[in-house]
Amino acid sequence: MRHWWLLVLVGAPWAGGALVALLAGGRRRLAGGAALVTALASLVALLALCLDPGSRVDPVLRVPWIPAMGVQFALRLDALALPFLVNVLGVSLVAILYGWGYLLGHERTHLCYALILAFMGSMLGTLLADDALLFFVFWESMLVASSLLLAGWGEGERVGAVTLKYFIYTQAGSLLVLISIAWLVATTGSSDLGTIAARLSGIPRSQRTWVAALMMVGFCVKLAVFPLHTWLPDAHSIAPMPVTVMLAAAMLSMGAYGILRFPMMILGSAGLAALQLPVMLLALASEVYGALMCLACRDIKRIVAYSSVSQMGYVLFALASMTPRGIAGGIFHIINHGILKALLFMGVGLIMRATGRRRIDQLGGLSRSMPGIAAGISIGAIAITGVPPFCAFHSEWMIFAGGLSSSYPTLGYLELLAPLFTAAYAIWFATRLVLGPEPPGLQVRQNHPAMRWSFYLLVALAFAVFLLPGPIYGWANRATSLLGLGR
Amino acid sequence: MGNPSVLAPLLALGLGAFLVYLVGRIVSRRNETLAALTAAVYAVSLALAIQLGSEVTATRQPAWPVSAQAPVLRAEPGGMLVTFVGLGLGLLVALYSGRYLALDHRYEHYYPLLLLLSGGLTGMVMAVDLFTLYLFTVLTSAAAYVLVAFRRRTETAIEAGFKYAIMGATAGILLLAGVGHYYRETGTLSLPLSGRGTAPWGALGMAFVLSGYAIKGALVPAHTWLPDAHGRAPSSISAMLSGIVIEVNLYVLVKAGLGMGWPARRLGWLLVGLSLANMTVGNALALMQVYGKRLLGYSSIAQVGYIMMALGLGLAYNRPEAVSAGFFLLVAHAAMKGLAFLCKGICHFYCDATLIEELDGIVGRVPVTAACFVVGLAGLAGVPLLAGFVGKWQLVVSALDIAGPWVSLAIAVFVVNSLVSLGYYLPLVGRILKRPDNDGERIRVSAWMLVPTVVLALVVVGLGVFPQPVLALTREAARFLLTWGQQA
Repeated sequence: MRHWWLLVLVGAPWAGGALVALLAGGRRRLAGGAALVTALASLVALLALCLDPGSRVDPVLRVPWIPAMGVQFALRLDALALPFLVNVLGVSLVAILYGWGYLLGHERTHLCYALILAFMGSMLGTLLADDALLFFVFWESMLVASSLLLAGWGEGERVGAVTLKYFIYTQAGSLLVLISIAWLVATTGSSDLGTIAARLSGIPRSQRTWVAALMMVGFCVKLAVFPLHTWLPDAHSIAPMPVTVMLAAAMLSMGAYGILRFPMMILGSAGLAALQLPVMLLALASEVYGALMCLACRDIKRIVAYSSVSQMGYVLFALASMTPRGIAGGIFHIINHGILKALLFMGVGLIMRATGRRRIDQLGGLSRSMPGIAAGISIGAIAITGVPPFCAFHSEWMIFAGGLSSSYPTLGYLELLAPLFTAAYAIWFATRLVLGPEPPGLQVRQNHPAMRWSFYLLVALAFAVFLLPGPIYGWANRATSLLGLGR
Repeated sequence: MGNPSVLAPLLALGLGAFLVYLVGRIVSRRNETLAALTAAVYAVSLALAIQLGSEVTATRQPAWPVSAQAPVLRAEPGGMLVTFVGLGLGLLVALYSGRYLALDHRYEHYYPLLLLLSGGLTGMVMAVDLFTLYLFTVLTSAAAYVLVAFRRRTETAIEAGFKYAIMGATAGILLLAGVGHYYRETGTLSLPLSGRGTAPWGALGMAFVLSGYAIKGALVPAHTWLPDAHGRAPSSISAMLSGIVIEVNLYVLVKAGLGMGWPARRLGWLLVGLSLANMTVGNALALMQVYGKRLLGYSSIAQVGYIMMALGLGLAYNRPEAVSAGFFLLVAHAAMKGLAFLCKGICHFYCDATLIEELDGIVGRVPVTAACFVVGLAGLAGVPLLAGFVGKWQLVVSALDIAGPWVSLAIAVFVVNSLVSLGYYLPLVGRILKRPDNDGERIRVSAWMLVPTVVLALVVVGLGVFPQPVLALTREAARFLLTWGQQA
């Protein structure tokens, strides 16, 4: 009985999305509410799965799908997927809530909510898929749904070009993923992830390294690691804010999940040894480059977008440290980044909506005109630098510890300097917006309550996770233990 | 005496063509009447073909007639699969024409020609005698030339039809010469006949036959007629030409090549080599098109390249999975490209959209058609859960299973090509879905055109979500093709 909750968890957004798409005409106002209810149904399913007393064994759902190709519709909830699931669900919920206010007055909102749900459903499916083909199907539907959202509801004049760039760029990464997954299937003769892992033991190390390298490049496109990041600032700055939140706070982490699931868990760490040094260097470059680009940008949405490049550098560095503590820190950081990036983007959205401006040199002194939002933005900016008493503190020190105990402690020391760059742009960003003189002609309108309250909810969460990090530590550690790293 | 049920689908088409012509001349020239009648003929023929197909396996192939010499026609799994596809597509195209041709005349010519086209195709895939094969090829081509130039008042259609006819006739001469040379060497025309074809005259004959079908199948560099013909023909005919005609010619090329005794390995590598040229040239030129139908035509050249690569690798390395992937890609392409052309036809018929840029925001005027169009294009681009992806996935998995530097190179070219193809599919999708302009009043599309289009869109989705039934057929077809050359 229990495994059917898996189908609810993944299926609810898809089914709900299909229903929401039908809410045309006057019933369109119900779309936001219906979308939230649907997302909550997924949350209920996840809670039912986690709170079940028999949860010692992973819940698995298997239905034959294409017997001629040995493909099953197989879903499995294991410890590795859990923290990512929590992140995707949480981010989607607040994004939909925020959309109640942000999407008000947009055209065809019912279709927008339907696609947001499909986007969410495909991320959940990606995380739960226990079959290589199914994984790729969900992985691609993630791209299709998000591209349609960009194309249909993007803001600005270059929507078509940016969507095209986004699609082709990430599709290039996806094709590398496709090739390497197809290689796994061809080599092992099975598309079941467990069977693939079991049958790979006889494969020589050099071959594993090649495939792992292909996969790393493919997943790093999704993770937007320098120099494969160029789709990110464009796509994130044209998307409507709820979609931006989902892209930045949830979808980027899919790249990290892919790295953990395929090269690290299925191929095993042996094939990765040769890649460790270049990946760590790229991660460092990403951290620094993203931070510097933040300082170079003037568009506040673009600044926050570039901050993701830097933050995903932290995550990649953590994974590449190949130490249990570092990887657990990376997984923890995914959740913290989810909270903080959603918080910052929502804050930026509130400012853009309230003032009608998005250039940082035309903004300032918001502490007087919109004190609550200004305080929240400041908290978000301070938190992302990794100082207590906010959530990212926990994950960042784990990442540093992981870096120092890795095979390349020198890089671990260099990593300690990264927060300086983060602090540079974060503090600059917050002070420019919040303090200083108010620019001439700045008029501030009141924002929709749904937008404000979802923002404040995240501010509270950033603090709450600092106070009560226990459960997330537990999830991250259990996820890491699946990787079989010893130590 | 042989099995007369082999003849049944062919007879139905041939007699049906005659019947439709008579009805058109004597009873009624109404387009709808003739379209419905033609669709009924297709349905009967399809039913007979399915009946026949249920008796066919890779080891059991009913033939007609079983005389002292050899059969002329033989129903085999690969041919039956292609026949199902062709007749199904023909049925939908006939219904679609019930409205699409409303502004034309001479319906009593159009529908019989359509039926003869399908009859020729069915005969081609069943023929196991080189001269019979040649006759059916000529029948198909003759019908196709006239149908391409059907709108004879437009200069471009005449020009395209003429070009097609010249190149097709060249191919026909090559075929006839090939058959002659082959007969001179071997003293027989029946297929399969392995071993004896390698002597000089036989080899020359084989080369002629293969080049003939290469022209008719639009293999690069003999592809130049295709964009004109597919771009200028009525969309319903383009759907047939792109969806089934070039595929049948490709299938016959493989079948005749193997049957005449070419080693599967060499033929396979020839196909792989040509396939790389096809996909690269097709995709590169599609990027530059400004006319919607020409773009779809070039995309067909590329897609046929994918089919050839799968068939070629399968033949070269004796891999049933790869050949099966090729057949699946063939079925998928028929559905997807047929769908795309039918949608394009609706856009042309109601909104007068010929250029790609005239498709801007078409979603506001014909929303259902636009949705179907997007499904077709996304399928061609290889988006999961649509028909194209299943075929491509099988192709990649079976190719990676073979391994080796040349195969890796082929896979790399294939992957780069499928990325390049996004460069024209996506902007087209973007234009179709563009936010509608002010003058976007809804248009009610006639059910004659809408129903076949929606049915094809559902087929494209169905093939992507539940490919299992078709995979069973493609497996059988692959098993047949890999043993065909050795049957003599």
